[in-house]
Amino acid sequence: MNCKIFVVTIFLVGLTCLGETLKLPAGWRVPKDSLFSMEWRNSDSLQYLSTSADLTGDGLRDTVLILEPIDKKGLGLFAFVKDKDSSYKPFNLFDTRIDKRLQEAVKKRKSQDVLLLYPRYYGVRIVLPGKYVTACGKEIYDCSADDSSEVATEKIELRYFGIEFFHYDAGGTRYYFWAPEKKCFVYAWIDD
Amino acid sequence: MERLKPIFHLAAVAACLGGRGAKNSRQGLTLTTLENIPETMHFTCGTSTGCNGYAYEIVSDFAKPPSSGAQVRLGEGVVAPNEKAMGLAQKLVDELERDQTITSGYREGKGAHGRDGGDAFDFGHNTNSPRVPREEMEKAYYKVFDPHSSMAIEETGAYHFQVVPGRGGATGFLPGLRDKYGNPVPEF
Repeated sequence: MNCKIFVVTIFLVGLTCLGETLKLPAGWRVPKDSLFSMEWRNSDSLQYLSTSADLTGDGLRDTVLILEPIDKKGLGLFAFVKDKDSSYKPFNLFDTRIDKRLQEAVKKRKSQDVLLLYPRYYGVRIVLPGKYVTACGKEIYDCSADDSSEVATEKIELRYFGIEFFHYDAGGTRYYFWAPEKKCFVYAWIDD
Repeated sequence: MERLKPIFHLAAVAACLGGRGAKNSRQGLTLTTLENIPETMHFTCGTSTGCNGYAYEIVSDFAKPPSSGAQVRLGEGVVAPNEKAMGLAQKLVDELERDQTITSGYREGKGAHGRDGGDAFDFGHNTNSPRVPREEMEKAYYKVFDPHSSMAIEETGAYHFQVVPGRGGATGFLPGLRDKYGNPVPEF
């Protein structure tokens, strides 16, 4: 087994040993594709494929995982929100297989190659609570939301820890964060 | 230089790279797979240095062969860089007189402009370490780009350049992570 996959697997086994049940969604697995084996990931003990923090402000530590679809190349970003009974509720935040813009890019290029960028170059890490200027506020993107999960204001305030979904060594960063009034995660583009 | 027909371009590149899917890690342009080579770009080899030399030229209306020894290296995963953007990237590297690894290409993103349309490219802070100082980068940008029709910004992980304006027609080197006095602003 690839040692990088091993690290993430050990992380999941560790949760199980603590009596916590983090069940991966059907059709997803811990990344095994060699595309994920990039040198830049070595600067993080969990390869930027997993992280954890209290994302919802309830005092419980939630888990974030990048997973790989079993049937196709690509990746999915998941937040597993922990309940008081130590079970986890999964939220699928991003999926290369169904993302509208990404699928348009694939269709336009008549090639799946663009999907390969994601396992190679995307990672996750925790964002501290605080105020942040978005891509809209930096005058990069239009301040209009493309879907109900997007926050397109010039600034955002994270009341709890958030998730940075980033492209290594480039822009295209999104922050995902908990919206208590909606009881789900929303996101904002930070740069391009 | 007269442009070659696309099919000949691909054949020439295939010959240089050693076949479909081969990786050329020599100095100069680094391309991952043949699938990554867009039809709109014009690569050639052998005109000055030969296939075993260090440089593949980007032949476009805007490009020129590296004149200073500095080279453009396209990172792995580069998919569909815009011809104009890559030409300006090369000029920028020439101006900076140092190697830079560039991320560009087609990936999902928001809006019609920016890197998702191949209209932009990033100089990452990690692979281009030590990073070019902001003042030097701004100076090079204003020398190479038309600041009235393009946009640049210093982001947390990279310098970002695009050949089209930003939101609401924003152009020039935007403050980004700086305040109105040019001082760095902490992200949090």
